[in-house]
Amino acid sequence: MWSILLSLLALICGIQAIRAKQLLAAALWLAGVSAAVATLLYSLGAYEVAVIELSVGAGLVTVLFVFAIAIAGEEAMSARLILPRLLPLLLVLGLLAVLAVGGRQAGVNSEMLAVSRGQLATDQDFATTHWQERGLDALVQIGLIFAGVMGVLGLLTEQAGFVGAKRNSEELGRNQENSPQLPQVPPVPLSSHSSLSSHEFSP
Amino acid sequence: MILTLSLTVVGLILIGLYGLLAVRNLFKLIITLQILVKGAVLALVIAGETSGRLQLGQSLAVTVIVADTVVAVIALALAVQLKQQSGTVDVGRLDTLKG
Amino acid sequence: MTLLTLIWLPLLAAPLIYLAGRLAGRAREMALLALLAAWVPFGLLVTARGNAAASFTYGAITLQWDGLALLLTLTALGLGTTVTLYSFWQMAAEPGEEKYYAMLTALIGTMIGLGCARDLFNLWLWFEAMAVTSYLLVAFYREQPASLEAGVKYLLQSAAGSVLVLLGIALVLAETGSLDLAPLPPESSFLLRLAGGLFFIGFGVKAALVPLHTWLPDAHAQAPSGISAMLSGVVIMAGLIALLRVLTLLAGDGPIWGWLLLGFAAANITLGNLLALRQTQVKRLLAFSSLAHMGYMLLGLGVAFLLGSRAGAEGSFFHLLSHALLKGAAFLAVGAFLTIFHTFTQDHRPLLISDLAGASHRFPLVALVLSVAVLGLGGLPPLVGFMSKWQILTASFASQNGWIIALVLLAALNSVLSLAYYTPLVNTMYRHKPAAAFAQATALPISMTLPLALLALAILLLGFWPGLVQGIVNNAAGALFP
Repeated sequence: MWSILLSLLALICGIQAIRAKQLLAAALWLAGVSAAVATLLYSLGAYEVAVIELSVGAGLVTVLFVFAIAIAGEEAMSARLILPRLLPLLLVLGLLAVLAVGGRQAGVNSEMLAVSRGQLATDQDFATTHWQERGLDALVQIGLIFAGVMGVLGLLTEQAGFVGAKRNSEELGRNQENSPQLPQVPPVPLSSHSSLSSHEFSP
Repeated sequence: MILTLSLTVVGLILIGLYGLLAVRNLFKLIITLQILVKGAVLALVIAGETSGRLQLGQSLAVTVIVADTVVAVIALALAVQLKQQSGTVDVGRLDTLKG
Repeated sequence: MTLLTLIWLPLLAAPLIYLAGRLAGRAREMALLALLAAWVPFGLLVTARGNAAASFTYGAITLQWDGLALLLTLTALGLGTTVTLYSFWQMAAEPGEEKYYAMLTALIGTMIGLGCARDLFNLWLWFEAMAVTSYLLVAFYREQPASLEAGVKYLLQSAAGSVLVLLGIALVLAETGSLDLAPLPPESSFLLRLAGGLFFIGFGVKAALVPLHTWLPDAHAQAPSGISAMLSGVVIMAGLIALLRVLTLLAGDGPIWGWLLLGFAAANITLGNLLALRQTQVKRLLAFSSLAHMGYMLLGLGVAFLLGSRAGAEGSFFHLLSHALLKGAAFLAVGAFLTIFHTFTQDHRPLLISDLAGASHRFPLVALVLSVAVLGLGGLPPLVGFMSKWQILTASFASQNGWIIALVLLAALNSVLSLAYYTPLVNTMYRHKPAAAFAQATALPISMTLPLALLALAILLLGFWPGLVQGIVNNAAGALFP
């Protein structure tokens, strides 16, 4: 009975998330889906996933959505200053928390394993399964998180001149030295911020 | 119980697929993706439960939650950047690439 | 141990490349070094083929080296190293250069891992990691709305596809209680067929099977040219190989998957060619031709699944290698012209076919490489593209099935038709009067011309001696159809 109600709740929240006119409302409905699904998972006996779904799915992701929507919603340029620092930080903190919780359990469990080795082979608990049986997944996942952090940095950070860009633009400048004066073409509106930024080329 | 949950998965997936086709705002599209992911997470745990390997199902589900959170973060970063560069996150109005 | 080194070396190198770029501005040298170093364990694995197959097991998950892994690794590492060297000059002024190299190296690492995965879920995770590393690369020019838009399309479609794959995995787990990628007993069930269908759609997005291809032309056209080469040459192939791996799991329904592959083959070949015909932008034209070439590969593989014979798969895998070389060379050569063109125009407008006019006068080598590449793609003998298409078509013709023979005729006809959009490229480049952009340009550095020359050399060599890779191709087919 409970599960039917929760299922309905999850579906209704899902429909509302799509129908909602306001973005913030949609994000909150999504958190509702997440909470309902987490409770369903809990009722299945999947306690660990339930906790993580609640904290990551309903918590962290909602915070991220609210941040991103708030920032994209306002026209002020300050957005680009706040977001780059906050987003990766939040991401790393949240994921570290998940890893830490699981890791602690894995630690406790490996002690237990040392005592009764072999007996748990068929009836393992979550931590053993997650960190030992599926350990390779966890390793690949670290690579995936790294790629995510790179992606956010690459998309959002300011491009103030760092060592690499400076050195390379000098080099490119050398390559351009013997080329004749470049004609000044008025920038096309869409791509006025050419990534071969014009100050590096302008005579 | 399992039947109810399986139907929930189907419902969430259908809602998500409908949303992918109907929704035009990029932020809402990312929310729709997340709804799909919730369905997948639930499906993996149910699969673990019915095959007698709940812990395996749980492990997969946790990995999926983390991986798709990363995807959502990149998607949000893309959306924010797109809003700043082109002033819109309405996918219907992004037509520079048509044809 | 060697296998472990090969897989983790590029992945562990990625953060180091980023740091080297941030701290010392040496990201590109570091990336090239890491990729060259990765050839050592690769060489050891290839030469040690006679011994017990290399594998690595941690917990319940195994990574296993086999013919298919070798094929994917060779393509990813080969094209990846070339693209890294090629990018030295082209990406030099770009902000975020160090992230470009870090992600490119990580992308290669994830594809090697994907080739070796022997666990259904682990395969998905490598696949997802590959997607995540490529998102930034596609949307690399983040100040251009068009590039971001391509990234958004690519991300949304990939992510939706990957959720469908997860549902398929859940179905397989619920039905069989196992995630091993070993063939299941032949008896089949509705749920397993449904899982197979979900895999088709999910991996099919990345492999650009035709109704699921809409991200591809934008992503290929908007990404930096080196990344276009990687996407077209390897990433969509990694999607195909992931699909083939999971289909062998569901071998009981081989004929169903065979017919599905053939259906997608017909759609890909026809639509890819028709759409390529109407393109005026060079990179979009090449992108649509990738669809057609994916179709030729699907044709050979479909025949192989249908008849359980290896010949079709061998042709397809040979075509995978030759397509990586040809399309890699084509995108890199176009990228060289594009850089010159953008230096001239000072903006990011797309390169049209007509913009290539007379390019051969100032840049004979690049024009020659591009000509060789597109003519090879069109299937002109004695280039490598002809040999591989020929293998696919003869293997399919041998099936003696009316439908397949009709499809072979369609493919052959399309292959001839495709010359209608490849030859104008060549014609334009060898026109007499050079366009302004090329008349004044300075010479290209050797870091850009050397990779082009190497690729062109490989195209010619393999065209004359296809036997050079026959062993690799046969092993890859043997991994699928033992």
